[in-house]
Amino acid sequence: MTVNGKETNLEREMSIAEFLRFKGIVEALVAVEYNLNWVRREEWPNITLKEDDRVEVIQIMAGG
Amino acid sequence: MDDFLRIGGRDLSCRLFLGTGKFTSYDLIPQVIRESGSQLVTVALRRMDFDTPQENMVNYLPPGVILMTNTSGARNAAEAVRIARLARAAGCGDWVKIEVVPDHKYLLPDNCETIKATKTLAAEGFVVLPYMSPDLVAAKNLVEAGAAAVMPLGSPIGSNRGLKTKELVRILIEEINLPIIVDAGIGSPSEAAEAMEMGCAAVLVNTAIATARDPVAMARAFALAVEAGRGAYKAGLGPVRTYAEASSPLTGFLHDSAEDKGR
Repeated sequence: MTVNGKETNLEREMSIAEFLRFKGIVEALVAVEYNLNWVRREEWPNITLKEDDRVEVIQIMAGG
Repeated sequence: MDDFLRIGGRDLSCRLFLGTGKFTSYDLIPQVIRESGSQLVTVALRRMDFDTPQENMVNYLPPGVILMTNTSGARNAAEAVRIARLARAAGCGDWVKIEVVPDHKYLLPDNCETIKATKTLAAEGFVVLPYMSPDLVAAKNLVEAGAAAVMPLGSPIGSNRGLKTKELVRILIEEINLPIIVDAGIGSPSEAAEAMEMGCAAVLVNTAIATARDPVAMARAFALAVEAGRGAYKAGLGPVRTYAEASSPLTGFLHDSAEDKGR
């Protein structure tokens, strides 16, 4: 699957929530787009990532 | 007397909005916000870099300050809408600064795509503040589309060149029944005061403060200028004349009246 534009292989099947934990990301501070649609965080544990998926993990940055 | 700026159901007492980009350290941001008295700051959204995780800047923002996410990086309406929705999902709230910029040299916005994005997002309940090239027809379309304010540029983003679009901004202030906020280009406190004296509802400043030698002191200087400019606008500036009009009586002292008449 593609995460933030990079080809990424998962060692095992996991949900969006598990993937974020695996990456050590504090869930409260990010947004996730799954195949071009943003996903409510309540849905993160219910979506299992598949080979062709495109995921964007977005965070807030400084900006003008 | 209270002089609140009402936008998106909020009454703001400070008419200086701050951009948070370009500061050399996140530590400066809370100090700059405190010195400026600003109640609204802009932020951006970016892909998370898993290899070099960055500190989350939200931790540096004082509670109660309004976050307005910009859609920087968007080249069309669809991308701006996508970013705004993600911002809301990330917990930034409903305030969005639409910024659709297909041009990389001058970073001038695409007004047509901005209007489209404004319409979609306003209908979804966002408080939409579009950054735009000052154009009366586009501004009217933004009003129609549901914008909460209109934010014309003063000069190109980050240029610190001041209010080059002054006459066009003046027309917007006169004709548009929404707060007009100069966003981009203001480089010095005097230029912020100039915008406020004209009747702008607020100014959004980033680069001029972030790139100052002492950003915290500059934030204070901008706050004073915005307050002074607003005060002048409310007080009503005196008329501008071509010829001199003496401030002291010219007769009844040193010269006799006949001589005065001869002048």
